[in-house]
Amino acid sequence: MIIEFIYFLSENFSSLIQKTFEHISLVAASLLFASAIAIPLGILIARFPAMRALLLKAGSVSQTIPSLAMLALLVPVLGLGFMPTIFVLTFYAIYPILRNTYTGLQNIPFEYLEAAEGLGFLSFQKLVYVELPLALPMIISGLRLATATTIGIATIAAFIGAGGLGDFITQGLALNDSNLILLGAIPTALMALAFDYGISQFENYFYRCKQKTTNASAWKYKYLFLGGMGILFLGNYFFLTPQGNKASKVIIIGSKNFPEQNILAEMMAQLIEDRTSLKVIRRFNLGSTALVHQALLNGEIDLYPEYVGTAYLTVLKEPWDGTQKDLFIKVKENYKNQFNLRWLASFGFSNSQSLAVRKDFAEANNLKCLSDLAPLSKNLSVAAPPEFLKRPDGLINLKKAYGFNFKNVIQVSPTLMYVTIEHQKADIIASFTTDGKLRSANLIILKDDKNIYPSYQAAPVLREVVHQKYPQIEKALSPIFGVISEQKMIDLNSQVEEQGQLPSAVVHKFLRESHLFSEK
Amino acid sequence: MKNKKLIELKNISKIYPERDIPTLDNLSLSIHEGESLVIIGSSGSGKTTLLKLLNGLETPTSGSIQIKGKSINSYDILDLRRSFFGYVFQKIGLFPHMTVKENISIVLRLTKKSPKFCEERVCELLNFIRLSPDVYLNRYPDELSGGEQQRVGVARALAADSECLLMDEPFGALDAVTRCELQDEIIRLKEEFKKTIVFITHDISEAFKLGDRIAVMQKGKIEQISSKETLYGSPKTPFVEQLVQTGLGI
Ligand SMILES: Nc1ncnc2c1ncn2[C@@H]1O[C@H](COP(=O)(O)OP(=O)(O)O)[C@@H](O)[C@H]1O
Ligand SMILES: [Mg+2]
Repeated sequence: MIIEFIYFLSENFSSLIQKTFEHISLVAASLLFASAIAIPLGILIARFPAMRALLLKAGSVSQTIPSLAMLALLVPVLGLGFMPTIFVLTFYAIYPILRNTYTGLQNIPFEYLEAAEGLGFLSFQKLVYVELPLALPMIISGLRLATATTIGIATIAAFIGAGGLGDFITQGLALNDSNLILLGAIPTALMALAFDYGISQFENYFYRCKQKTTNASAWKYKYLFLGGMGILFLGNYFFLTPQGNKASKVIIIGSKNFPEQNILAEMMAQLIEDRTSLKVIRRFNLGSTALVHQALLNGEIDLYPEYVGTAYLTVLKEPWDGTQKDLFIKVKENYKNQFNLRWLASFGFSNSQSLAVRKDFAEANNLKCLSDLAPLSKNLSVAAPPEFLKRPDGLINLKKAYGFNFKNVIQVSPTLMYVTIEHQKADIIASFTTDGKLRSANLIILKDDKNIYPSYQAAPVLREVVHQKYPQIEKALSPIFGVISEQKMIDLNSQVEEQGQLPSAVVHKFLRESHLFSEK
Repeated sequence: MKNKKLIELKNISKIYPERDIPTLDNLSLSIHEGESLVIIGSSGSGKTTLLKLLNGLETPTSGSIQIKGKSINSYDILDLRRSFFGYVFQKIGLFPHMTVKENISIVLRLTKKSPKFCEERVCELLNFIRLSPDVYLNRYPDELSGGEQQRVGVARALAADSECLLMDEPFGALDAVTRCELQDEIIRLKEEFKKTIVFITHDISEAFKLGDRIAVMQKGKIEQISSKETLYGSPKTPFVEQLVQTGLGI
């Protein structure tokens, strides 16, 4: 297990370094902003009691807001990426620094303040020469607290495409891959420890710079050091911010947060990198359909893979009763007119819903499609996740259309579903038609021959303006149009989901073996 | 010369709003140039308040304060604190995050004196208070003994070469031997630099040792102000008599 992880680590070392840097940039920028806000504010409330109680109360309440909820609220306002992340991180870092600045200033022994006044300090001289230096250990301990929480919370940046170590964690969660989760979690924890140690060392150095150099220059060094750190982090931050170089030839590819989406997005990314001179920025695992669609409309991403059925039902909110025809054409037209978005050609498969059975069972009973199942249904039990049992387009609809009457309906979590059927506790499960687990569990999908589900053809959706500007994108993607069958997609999904390979590696292998890279 | 008035307080009262009895009660007092005036009184008699009125940390409720014949209000109060008065605090109040050098030179730095000037002045003062600059210049207050700390406190008060030193029970917390040494330093200071010194104490033998004149304070009033001989020879009130006798160990 450990050996395996170390191997995994060495394989992903360069992306680990990159994510670590992104993480540090997020944290450092947020702490800088938070300090710039919280320290002056702390000084203010120490001087003027008017807003004190209110601010401290509000601050402590603010800490109880779940960071993810806050992020979700901010996305419609601030969009995706760095901005909302920095905002949220800064928000949570302010209170500990504010409170400690205030407490530090309040607890300065009266004798020093009296001495400063008796010696004729101006109010601001008293602050700079006496109060702040004496409150500094307290302020720094606030900073330490803030740093620890910020490093932790920064993992949420992954949900909205701002990068950082959280990317590994969300990918790991989406792919159910503990190595990936650890790859994100361990460095995050180590970073928190390292920062804490670093700051405490810095604190010792800062507070008690006892070396024999003349002290004026020692202070200069301290400020130089601080300034240097600040510039380093900010530079790093802007360097890594993709928004900054939007003007240059860049295309941002997004995806939702499950393996198939990662694979498709990665495939498009690799093809565009291979066949055009555009620079590709990957903003994968953005979340739900609504979120990714919004990101596309905002121009925070330029391109992502979507399913016709999802677009029809979820985005366009069109009605469906099984009789509507030509969904792809309708979706294409509506996207063009309503959103100025362009659907390219389908990848060649549809990731719809249906029921799956064990291969041997299907062969024994000569099952091919759902209609074949109906006569047997009263002796069979079906396992499905709760949504499938509840949703009108789930089991209810299936029963009506095909006249099923199952012996037994078992409600299980999606991951346990496969265990249930493998151990023959159920004969049938609900499944997506390209689910990678179908392969390892040795299941086959029964065809929805009455077409009660709309087509879930997968295809790239591209912003029309980007298409006009870079027509080479469509050309670069054309080699995979119509090429990926359901079986192929199951295969690719399985390599990622079941075998725990990285989408980038799986895609690269696929494109190479299918000779889809340009001949260079 | 001896009787030239440096500071004159006339009918000073100080009433803190949160207290019903006055802390200083219609008090008048002159401080002569070059003298050492010791103010003695029990705790709470208003000694510190009196000192704070002098350098503007408190303002009197009524009465007037004149410095060199001009009202205190006609001076820039920060200027007074920085360069007319030097203040030595009972709790010393050396800034713990500053070295000896930084502590002593802080007032000079506030008034933007050159680093070279500061350094020279600090060495001069350290030599005067008999702390070798080589050893002490870059030490922090917590690396000094109590006596050394208060010496530095005195040096800090002297840094701007102020005319008048205000010393608020400066040696109260020191052991008898150190205290005696420091008292000698004060006498030397007075003789060498001709400073005017207002010195507060609650110890009558210290008052006898240091004071050209001694003011006995009680409940915000001055009971008697005179040389120690007069004080001893003809105490005006029973309180003064009792005080003088405890000082003599009777
Ligand atoms: N800022 C203040 N507010 C209210 N009362 C004060 C304040 N400063 C001093 N006092 C009161 O005035 C009285 C005299 O105080 P102080 O001048 O410090 O006396 P001393 O120095 O002789 O011990 C004391 O009773 C004290 O409680
Ligand atoms: Mg006092």
